[in-house]
Amino acid sequence: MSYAYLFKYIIIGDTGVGKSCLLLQFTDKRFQQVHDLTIGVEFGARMITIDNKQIKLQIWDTAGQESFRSITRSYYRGAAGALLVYDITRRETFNHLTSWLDDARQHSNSNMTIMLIGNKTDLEHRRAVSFEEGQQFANEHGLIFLETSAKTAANVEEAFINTARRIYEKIQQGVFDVSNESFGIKVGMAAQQTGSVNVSIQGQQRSSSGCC
Amino acid sequence: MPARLRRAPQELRPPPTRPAAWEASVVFSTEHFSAPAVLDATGTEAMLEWTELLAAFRHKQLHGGPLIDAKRLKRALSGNGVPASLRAEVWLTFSGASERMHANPGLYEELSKGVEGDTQCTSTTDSAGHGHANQHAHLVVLEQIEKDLRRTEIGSDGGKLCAMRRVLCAFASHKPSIGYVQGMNFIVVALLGVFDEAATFWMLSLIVDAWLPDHFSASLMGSQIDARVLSILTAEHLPALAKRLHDLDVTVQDLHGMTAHSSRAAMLPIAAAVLPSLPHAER
Repeated sequence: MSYAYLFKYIIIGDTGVGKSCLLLQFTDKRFQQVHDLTIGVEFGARMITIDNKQIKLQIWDTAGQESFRSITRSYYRGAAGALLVYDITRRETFNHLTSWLDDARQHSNSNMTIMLIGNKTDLEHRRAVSFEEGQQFANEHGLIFLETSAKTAANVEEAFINTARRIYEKIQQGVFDVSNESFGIKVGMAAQQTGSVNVSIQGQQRSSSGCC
Repeated sequence: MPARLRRAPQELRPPPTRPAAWEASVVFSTEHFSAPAVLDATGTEAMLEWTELLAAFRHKQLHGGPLIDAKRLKRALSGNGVPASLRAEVWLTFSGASERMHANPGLYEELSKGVEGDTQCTSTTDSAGHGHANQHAHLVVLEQIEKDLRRTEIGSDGGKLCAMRRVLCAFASHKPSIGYVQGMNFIVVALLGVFDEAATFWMLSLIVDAWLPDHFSASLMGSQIDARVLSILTAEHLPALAKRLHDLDVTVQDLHGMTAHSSRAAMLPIAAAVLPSLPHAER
């Protein structure tokens, strides 16, 4: 399918915070109570529409275990967006954010858009990290912030799409050299005419490739 | 343009080639790979042949003697494979895992004794393993194992879950420098389908220590090299797949992470089928 742009994302965060479930909810609109653990890297893709332009999101889902850092690190450089995920019911996953962020900043291009995600809001009764703490961490580090539930799908669309919107804005502002694919952005066949800077989401369309 | 000329390219096109059977079974998706079945020999002839091969191998181990006839071994393997009832013994013996096991009698039992289980396997619960509890790193490892036990798709087989826990925890105590690397769980669950617990532990030890040491090191260099080799082979031998990946905007380098995934479902039965012939046949 033709697209105006392809954005590469990477999803990072501790093991068991719901990275793969967020991806599955976004690409397949379903939730798996017990999801297989991720080894190395897996990926999914979906087409979205921003400002009347088809944008393909190609999302790399990484293993959270420390042992795989050497492999996940090699995916930062080619990514335009990163979803940094923690589990609102497990404090330690929030405490590890700094280490993830250091890793991401060190190995990515400086214009990578990072979205901080506090996942598992369906488990409100077991909440261990408040919304305000998440918001404050995001403010301090210049990240976008959302709380999501991969189970109920709350805010999942928004997490992926708001990130895309931010990247799209940066393209419009001329922040990226889009001919350089190392920024995680690829110009597709359908990107001939320049769109307006006013970004709006016109509706979504599932990828027809059926590959992921 | 004359019709004759327009048809010409059609006629020049080579006939569509049929993919090999195994080629068709390689599908990149988030679903499981379909994998070839492990051969399962039946009949007394195969039993006799393998019993003889085992006896010859053990005799050589104990007393020296003539080399195992590699051609004969390969013939037996490529015929109908190993009979199910002899599989565990054949694999253990020819892989070299049984040597490790016999060189360390009782070690697995000792290591696994202290592993705490849930209510389903309280019989193995013992306080002997609490010496490790002080080590933060070891605790992190145990926590990770616990998290992954429930994510290994073994259904509701509580006994298997406890066996997995004991094998993985025992290995992490045995080799603290390696500990537990995600993916070992899938190796162990596959091995438990063939071996008992202790044998599973020694097969895991052989695979991680001796066969694939670089796949479990900090750099995971082995996996990275595998990925590179796989991507080169894919481009060379499966151009249709390489093209499909290209169409999906996946670069060859990205095959990288998927090797782990493919090895998990597709490669294990293949590895299992050739495993007995690897280390000793050529000696």
